[in-house]
Amino acid sequence: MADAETEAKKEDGEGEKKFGQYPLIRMTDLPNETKPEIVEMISTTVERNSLDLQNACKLIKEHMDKTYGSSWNVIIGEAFGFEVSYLKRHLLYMFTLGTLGVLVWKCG
Amino acid sequence: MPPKGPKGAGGGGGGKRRGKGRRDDDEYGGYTRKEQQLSKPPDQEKLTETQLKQDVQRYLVTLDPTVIRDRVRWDFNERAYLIVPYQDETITLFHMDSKLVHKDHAEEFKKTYPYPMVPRKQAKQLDKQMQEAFKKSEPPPPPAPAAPTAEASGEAETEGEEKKADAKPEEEEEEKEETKEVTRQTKFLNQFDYSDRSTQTYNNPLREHACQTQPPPRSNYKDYCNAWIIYDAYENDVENRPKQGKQHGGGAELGAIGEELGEQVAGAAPGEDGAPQTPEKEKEKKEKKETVRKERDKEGKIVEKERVKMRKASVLEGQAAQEAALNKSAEGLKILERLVMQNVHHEVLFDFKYYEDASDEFRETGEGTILPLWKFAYDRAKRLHVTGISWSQSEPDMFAVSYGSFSFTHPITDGMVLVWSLRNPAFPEQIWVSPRGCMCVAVHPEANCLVAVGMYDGNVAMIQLKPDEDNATSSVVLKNVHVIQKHRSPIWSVKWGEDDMDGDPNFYSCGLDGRIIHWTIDTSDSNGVGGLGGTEICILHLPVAPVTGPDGTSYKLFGCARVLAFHPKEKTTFLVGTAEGNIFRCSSLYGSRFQQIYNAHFLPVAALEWNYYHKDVFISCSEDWTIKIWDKKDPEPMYVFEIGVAILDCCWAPYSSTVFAAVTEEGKTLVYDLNVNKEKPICCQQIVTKKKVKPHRIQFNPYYPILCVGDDRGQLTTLKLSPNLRILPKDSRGAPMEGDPKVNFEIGKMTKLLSLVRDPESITNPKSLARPDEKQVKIVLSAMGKK
Repeated sequence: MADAETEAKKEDGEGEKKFGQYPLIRMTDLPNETKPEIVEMISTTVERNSLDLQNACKLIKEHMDKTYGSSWNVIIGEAFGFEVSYLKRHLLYMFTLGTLGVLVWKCG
Repeated sequence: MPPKGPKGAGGGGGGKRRGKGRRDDDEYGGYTRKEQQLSKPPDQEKLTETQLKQDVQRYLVTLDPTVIRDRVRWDFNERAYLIVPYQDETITLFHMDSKLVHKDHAEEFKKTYPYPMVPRKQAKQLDKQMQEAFKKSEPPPPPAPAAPTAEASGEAETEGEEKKADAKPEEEEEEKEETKEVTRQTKFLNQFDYSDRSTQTYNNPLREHACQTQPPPRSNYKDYCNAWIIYDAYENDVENRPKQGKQHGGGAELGAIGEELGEQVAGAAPGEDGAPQTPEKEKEKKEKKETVRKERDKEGKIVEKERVKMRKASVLEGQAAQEAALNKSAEGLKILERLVMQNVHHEVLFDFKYYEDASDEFRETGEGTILPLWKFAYDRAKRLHVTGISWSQSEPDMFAVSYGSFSFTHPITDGMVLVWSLRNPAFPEQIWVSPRGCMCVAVHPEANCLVAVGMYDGNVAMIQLKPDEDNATSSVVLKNVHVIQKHRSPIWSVKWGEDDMDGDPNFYSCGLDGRIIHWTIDTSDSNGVGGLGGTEICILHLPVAPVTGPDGTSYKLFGCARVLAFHPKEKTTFLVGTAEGNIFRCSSLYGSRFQQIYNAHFLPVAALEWNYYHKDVFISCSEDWTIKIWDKKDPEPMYVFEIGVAILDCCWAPYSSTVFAAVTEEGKTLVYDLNVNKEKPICCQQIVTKKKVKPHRIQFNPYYPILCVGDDRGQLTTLKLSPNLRILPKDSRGAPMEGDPKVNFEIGKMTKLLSLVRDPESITNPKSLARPDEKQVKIVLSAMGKK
């Protein structure tokens, strides 16, 4: 497994040492203008606070509330299932740091 | 009664007698008072004792009875007599301000009273002091003792001095209390002179009003987040990224061609684009079918389609994007369908574009053939008759067909209007289903998205073929609403007129009730349901005497209009053919007064059309087995063709002034060219094979040498004309003529033909029946069975 991973990475030539360090969007409903900024913001926040994910959640939520309006919800975790009702065009579900899933949505 | 003398009452009665001054001797010794005796005037009222004793009260009032209260004066401003208000005529002799204060408010009053109030005794003392001081010419003692006693109320003056002693210590206490308090600067005003009065304006009542907007849309999403899901996602992403680069490059090339093909929804670029690419496409047929899915290069839809195709739908970029992708794929699928159709019918397409019947050169008689091309059939329209065909003038491959029923004994109640394109014979471009049968259809000559439809029950509708923003239903329909305005019987023909002054499209319809109604868009419809307003411009009165009805009233007979034909150049002249066989030439400006009536046929006129080039010529055909060509000035036809079978439709060719085509009840199509052969058709061909099927409509395509024939099985057949049938005039260099020279040539051709038929003098005397030339030239043809 590990060999395959490293080989795959060498083929890509991206120079990544760990698996899947970049943020990968799984499902999103965000408008295209704001999507990259939000993804960027979330991935940097999570990387900075990778030891204190609760704080990361808090920062993300507060930033989103300030910038895009109130009542965002943030979940960061490694294993969870969910079913959420979200306001249209305000949902982002992405993976980052290889093992973390980040779900951000706004409702109400 | 005046006092009497001591003589007593007795003397009263005899007062009169004694009133003469007689002295009586009495106790007083002759020094009696003179008795006062009343002297009543003789006309005085005589009252009884009780009446005299009655007290009569008299009142004295200040009203001056002599004053005129309702004096009026002329006012020059108002120009009227105005009442001059009465002014009291009183004179003030004395006025003095009162010093009386209400006892409740006395203390407060004292504060503001400028003069010190002292009790009487003290006042006298003060006076004395003042006078002594004055005498001694010393400054007067300061009025210090006046301050505490200033508190003494006015009551002290009015009341007795006994209370003063009691009042003083109280007052001093009060004074101290008052000085301790914050002195209020309220100026107290005498209650008898002043009074407070306040008012408040009316406050409007408050009302609550709440409103809530629609909440923004929400949706649900559920998923899992696990280590393996994350792993799989990254793996897939890594795999697919190199391939995405290739896809983009390939897609761009194909996308260009795709965009060329995919233009408007209702009508696309001219067919010339489609055909030359066919040979290329034949080579790359298979390739295209696979790659055509990827040819749309719009917003990364390629990427998504790839993902959809190659992977499961586990990696998607959003449901909204997916919906957008589906909508865009609708365009792509349309192109795909057309390409497939092209491939399926590629031989037909070749024939349409390139095939010219070579055997025409060898035919001496100048005959030609017509080659059947596509057949258009819609399965839901199978049992309906084709009631109208209208080619679009601006899009050469688009035509609208109305489906309904000509069988009035077994009416089929529903109908539809389909818009077909030559590119796709399998399925119509647009479908509009109507609950009642559609009898006729007309595509607007300029704006080819407007289609007018006339229906079996007398209603009309105007359909707009543009797709709206949602890409949902692509037709906006305007209907007539008013019961008064609509026709009371089936509408046989609708034709577009010229745009009116506002630039609004308008059309005319004629129906069996003999009325011709002009329809425009009526925006004043309150319901928003309708949208078309109609004005009746003409009633076709038959030129016969009024008929008496059963109850003695006389009716004016009117014709049942069957066909409407507008002149291509003069926009207000039109022809109406009736079911009685008459043709009326009318103008939309003149209403019901006809310019001319032609007694054309014995049976209903089936078709009427003006010649495209010569402005005076028109053709008519009827079920009485004849086709007639007319000059509008003449009440008699120029050419008559007796076919022997009922003719169901006829029309002029748009490329020539002497070519026309007709369909017969037997299923044959006839094409005549008067320049070549005035007697026989240059083409006669059986179009519909089954004897039971009747072709009802025939129309020429304005651009291509194609005919379209519609029959009563809901099928449309397109036919290509062979070269002999479409001889185009050539100029000196041998190239086909275009534009004005062609028009002039065509007109000249027709004029020559007409001049063969009659001599010029007959124009001035159109009513003369006995014209030797006509008898000579009137051609009677034998039945078509020979061919």
